[in-house]
Amino acid sequence: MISCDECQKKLVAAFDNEAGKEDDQLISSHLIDCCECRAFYQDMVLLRQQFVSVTVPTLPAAVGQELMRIAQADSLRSNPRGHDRNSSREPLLLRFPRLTWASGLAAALLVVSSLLACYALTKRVVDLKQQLQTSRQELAVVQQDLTVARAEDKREEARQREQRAITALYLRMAELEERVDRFSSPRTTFLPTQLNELSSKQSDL
Amino acid sequence: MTDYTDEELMSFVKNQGISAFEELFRRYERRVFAFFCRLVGSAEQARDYTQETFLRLWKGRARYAPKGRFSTYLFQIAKNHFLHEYQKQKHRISLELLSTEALQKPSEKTVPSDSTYSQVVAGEIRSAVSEAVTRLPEIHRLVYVLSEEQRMSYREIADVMDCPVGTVSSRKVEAVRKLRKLLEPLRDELFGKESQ
Repeated sequence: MISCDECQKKLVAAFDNEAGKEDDQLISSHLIDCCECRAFYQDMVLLRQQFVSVTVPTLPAAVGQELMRIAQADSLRSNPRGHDRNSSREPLLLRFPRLTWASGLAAALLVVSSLLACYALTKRVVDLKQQLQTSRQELAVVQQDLTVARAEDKREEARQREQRAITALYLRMAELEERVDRFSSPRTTFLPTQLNELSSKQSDL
Repeated sequence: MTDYTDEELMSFVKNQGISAFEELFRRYERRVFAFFCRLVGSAEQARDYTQETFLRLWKGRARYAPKGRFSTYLFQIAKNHFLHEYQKQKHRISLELLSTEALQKPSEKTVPSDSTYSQVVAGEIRSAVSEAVTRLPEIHRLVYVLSEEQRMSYREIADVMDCPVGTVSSRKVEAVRKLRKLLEPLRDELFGKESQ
């Protein structure tokens, strides 16, 4: 069994969440029999309720403005080289809090525009590759046609050579047949010069 | 709104960071002002104390060493200033009645003239409790206000007061006992002996 003094100490600590769970049983068993400590606890609760229910006014804005003015003047005095707010080593976002959302928005826009630019460039590259592929295919067809044409030209040339050879052979054969006929006939033997005279007379006639 | 901790902001203040000092003031002005309002019972005096506390914070920025929490450091300055002023004005402190009209915000309605008896009584009780707190000895007053108003733990109060945790607990109990004694006439007058 604890004394009233100890109980009230533990009550205050428990009320401020500073006591351990092991004190709850001791406090409870003491409060059952002690009306003074029960009154102490009730008054403590009432005191807190009344104390915190009083509304505290707000500090006038002029206090803060005066404070900053004094701090600024003191800062200039301690740094005669003309230290100003913008030349301190504070992070930029601390000196200009509104930059936070503005910079975030700018960063988002930059990312979106970069993604769009990348997409457009990629699409252009794909289109150009397709055009290159098509052009290569057309070139291959043309080259194939050219090869075919050249082959045909060669064949035509060969055929013409053959034709000329055949014609020459025919002429040769005719010439030889004529000679054979001429030399095989016994009745008429003319000298070439007499043949020439005979032919000229016939033509005069 | 920046995401810097109080300790980081104070490190900027050490390097002439006016913006960081302004941010710290914005974060703590209400707490410090409420602290002094509870302690001294006068909004005007609390305003001066608040301004002086932050001025001391600024002027002593070079001495700041991030050993503990910044709030503890700030309230140490506030406590020291209060005790210093209290000693100076010990014989000249006039206990003002802390009326509800003086503490309410200008935009809030005061108790209407045709208010019920219970509202008037409630206002008187609050006034009496606030006044009784200002009548506590300064050490008990500090502990009570730091515990009830600022909701600091005994460990934090011990750091501010520079005393052991057990001492904080004892002073808090003494504060409650003294308040009960100061408010004894009020309880007898308004509630009789019912609560006993």
